[in-house]
Amino acid sequence: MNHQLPFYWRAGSWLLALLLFSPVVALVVEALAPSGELFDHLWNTVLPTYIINSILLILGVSILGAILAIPAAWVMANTNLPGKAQLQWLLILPLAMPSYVIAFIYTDLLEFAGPVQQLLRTITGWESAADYYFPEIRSLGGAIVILALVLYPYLYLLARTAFLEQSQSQVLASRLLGCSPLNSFFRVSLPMARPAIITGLALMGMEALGDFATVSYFSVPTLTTAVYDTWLGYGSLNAAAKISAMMLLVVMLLISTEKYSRRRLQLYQKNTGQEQKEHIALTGKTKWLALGWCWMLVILGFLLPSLILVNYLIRYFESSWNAELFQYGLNSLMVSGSAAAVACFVALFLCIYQRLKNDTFAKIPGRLVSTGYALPGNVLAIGVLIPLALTDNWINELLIQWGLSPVGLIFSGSALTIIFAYVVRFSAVAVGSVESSLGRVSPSLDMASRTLGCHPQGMVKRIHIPLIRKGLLAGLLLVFIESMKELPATLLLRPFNFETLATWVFQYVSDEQLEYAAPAALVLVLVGLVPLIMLNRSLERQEQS
Amino acid sequence: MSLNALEITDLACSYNSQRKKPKDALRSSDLVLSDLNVAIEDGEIVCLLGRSGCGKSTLLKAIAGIIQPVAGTINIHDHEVSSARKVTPPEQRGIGMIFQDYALFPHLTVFENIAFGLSKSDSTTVKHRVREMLELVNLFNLEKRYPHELSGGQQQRVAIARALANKPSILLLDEPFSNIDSQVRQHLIREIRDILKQQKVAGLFVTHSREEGFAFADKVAVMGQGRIMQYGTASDVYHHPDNRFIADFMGAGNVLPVSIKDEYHVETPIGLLKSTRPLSTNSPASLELFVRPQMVEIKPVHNTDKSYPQATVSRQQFMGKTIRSEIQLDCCQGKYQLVAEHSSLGAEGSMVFSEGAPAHVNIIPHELVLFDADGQALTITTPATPDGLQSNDACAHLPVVEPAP
Repeated sequence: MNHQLPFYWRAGSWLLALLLFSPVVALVVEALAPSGELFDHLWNTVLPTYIINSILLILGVSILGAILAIPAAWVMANTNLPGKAQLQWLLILPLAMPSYVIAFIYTDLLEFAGPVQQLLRTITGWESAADYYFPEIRSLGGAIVILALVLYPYLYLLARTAFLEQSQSQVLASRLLGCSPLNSFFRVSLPMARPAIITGLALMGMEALGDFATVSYFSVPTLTTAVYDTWLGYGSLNAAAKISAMMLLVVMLLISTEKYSRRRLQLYQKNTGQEQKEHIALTGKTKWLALGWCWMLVILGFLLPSLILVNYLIRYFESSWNAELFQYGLNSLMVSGSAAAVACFVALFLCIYQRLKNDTFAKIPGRLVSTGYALPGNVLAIGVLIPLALTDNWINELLIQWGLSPVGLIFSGSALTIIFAYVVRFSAVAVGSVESSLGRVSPSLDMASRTLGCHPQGMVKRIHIPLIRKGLLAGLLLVFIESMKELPATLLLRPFNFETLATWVFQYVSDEQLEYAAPAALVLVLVGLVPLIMLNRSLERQEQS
Repeated sequence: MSLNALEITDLACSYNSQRKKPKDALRSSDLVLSDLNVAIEDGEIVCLLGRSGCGKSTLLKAIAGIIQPVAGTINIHDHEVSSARKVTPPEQRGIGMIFQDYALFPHLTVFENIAFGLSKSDSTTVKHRVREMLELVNLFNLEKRYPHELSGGQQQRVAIARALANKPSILLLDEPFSNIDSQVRQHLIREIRDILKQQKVAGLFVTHSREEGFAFADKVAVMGQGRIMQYGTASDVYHHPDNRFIADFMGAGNVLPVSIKDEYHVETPIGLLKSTRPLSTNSPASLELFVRPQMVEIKPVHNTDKSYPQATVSRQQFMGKTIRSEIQLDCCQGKYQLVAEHSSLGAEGSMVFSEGAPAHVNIIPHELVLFDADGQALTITTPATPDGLQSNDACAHLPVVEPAP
């Protein structure tokens, strides 16, 4: 059904989309410029290793994340494990852990001088590193484990919802047709959850590709660190843009695979709503295995690092509890909150346009905005700097022409830059969330409301927005968390002397002194927790109704 | 005696069966099913008819093996599959099931859906069997389609083919026609019934719609309050309901207060009425007569035949096949209303009454259905003088009423 939208809505959608897409355009234009000496040199020396490292990181995090998340998601959706009510939200918590904090903590625990190896030496009598093998945490493998531990909740959340939405009759049908429970999982439940799982994997893969802090801390050279070094080290915008364009190609390949598989599976779950799900009763060994698996994720991904942070906080309280903490906390809240609000507004605006216009052309703004998510943070920072710097220059030139005094760098030198960068980067999360919940609103509701006398805006206000409130809320919270934890773009874009909690904590991590930033790290974790708990509450309510 | 495809004995199920010990569950008040008995012969189709919430779906879940009974047993072909001690998993029961939402696998094609349960056999056998099934349900060109590309009726046929491909001992059908267009529903019911009969598969069909039940099944089991209230052929349950609840559930009827005059007659507000089967003479004085609308005749007042009571037609509706008339009896201060329904053919002019027109009312003599004050059907005691009555066929169909619990 095609609804007539006011002009400002249509024009606004395209303007917003183009504005948020401009960093990508700037990057591509820059990347297409003739290559300089530096890029050729990198290409002939270290770049191939960096590419391989990046690809291994993505694959490793995806595979390990799937192994961690899918069994947990299935168990939470289909069984009556003891403590399930608590476990199902505890499992989301690692999402609140900044990867570099966890990386620091596990390095501290597992390095040669750390307590684990010390204990090992005390027990066995080994004296030096030559006496035994212990995996090196500051490695590509270590980075994979750390990233999978904090990123798996993306996949867990999506897969659990998919498993919950599956109609029980389909599983029962497969059982009656001769499948054992395990068989039924692999032949029916898992393939039916495939679109959700691929989406989750794509999210994790893009996060892994864009990770800067962990690989930088572990000294694993990847494409991300290469972009950072070429810009900050060599000052070559051209080489940085070229490397990031390569990363973009990989990401586009990933996304189109996902879209293709999803198109074939345009399915509508026909949950009759009346059926009562019979939960599988786990007993004996399987029960303990499932419990052990889920608690392992919660302990390693959240509880243990949090306890260590609390321990730091108590031991170093006096030197670390200070005014800086509050100033930087306020900065973080301000930029992340604004970014989340703006991103959700953008998502709502574009998704409604897309639904009401209902043609291929109208889908373009949403897609354009979503590309920002594929950009790794520091790549995006460079992309953002180009158009903003141009605007600033243009304004100042204009003022001088009019005989006024120039105002300096309005955009590129202020916190607005950071907010803009967050919106460019994280609108995709909000768009995805709003788009999927709008997709669940039956098209006949549009027709019903229009025939009952609603004009298009009235229909949006009275039908769509109330029905997608949960999706919108989920989008808001996810953008907020992401922005709070965002580091690489903030590192590059922040105005002089402007710190967020994330940049501050990372500074201390790099200096091997996280103990002194423990309150900030904990605040970062706690702030990330609040929206997660709220998200979980709203999901639970959704399941009950 | 032929083997029973399904035999359910004294079955009791509870919602919390998995948490409680069987003994506690039996004592608790949250029993969904209790003392339930059904037997289905090979090739027989039985309909479980009941309102929503009467325990139909719980019974299906128990038969499919996803919930454990707290008492009683379920046997499939004389093989015990469920009891309070042991439950055979669904995949080892040889049951086919058709769901209200069809439950087709959305990620598989029609062919793959039908072949789903055949995976252990080799590929040529599978192909052959799937083709056979497609032919059976008339879907030959659609094997490469995905479920969402099919209409509701087509999806239902795929579901039937998938369930029958495995040659199950019994097919469970859970409200299979409720999502089907009413125009094709009756046709699909006949078609699927023919398929089951042709394949000689026993069927247990669950519905809340008596029309579907009558059309699809050989026998009808009326369910209420977690137990089977009456079990018999559709016509038996319709004409000889065991209690008021069943009588109303089977279709609308008129109720008049009566008293028994003799073995073959009752006294009604509209005069003496003849029963074509003998009545018990030592029954309570005041009874209720339950009369289906098609047994009530009305005639225009032309001649002044005093034996017919006077009445007023308060409303008439043309229903197509029939004409439905609401009649107000003139006697007893206008306390009683009757509904009459008769064929719209053959009596065109004479059957049309204007609102408020006077009419004669007559109830056609038939095997009368009488209820006592508790709504239980009248127990017929064996008459003292057997000769003459034993020859009456109606005796063979007399319902046996269990004492109220």
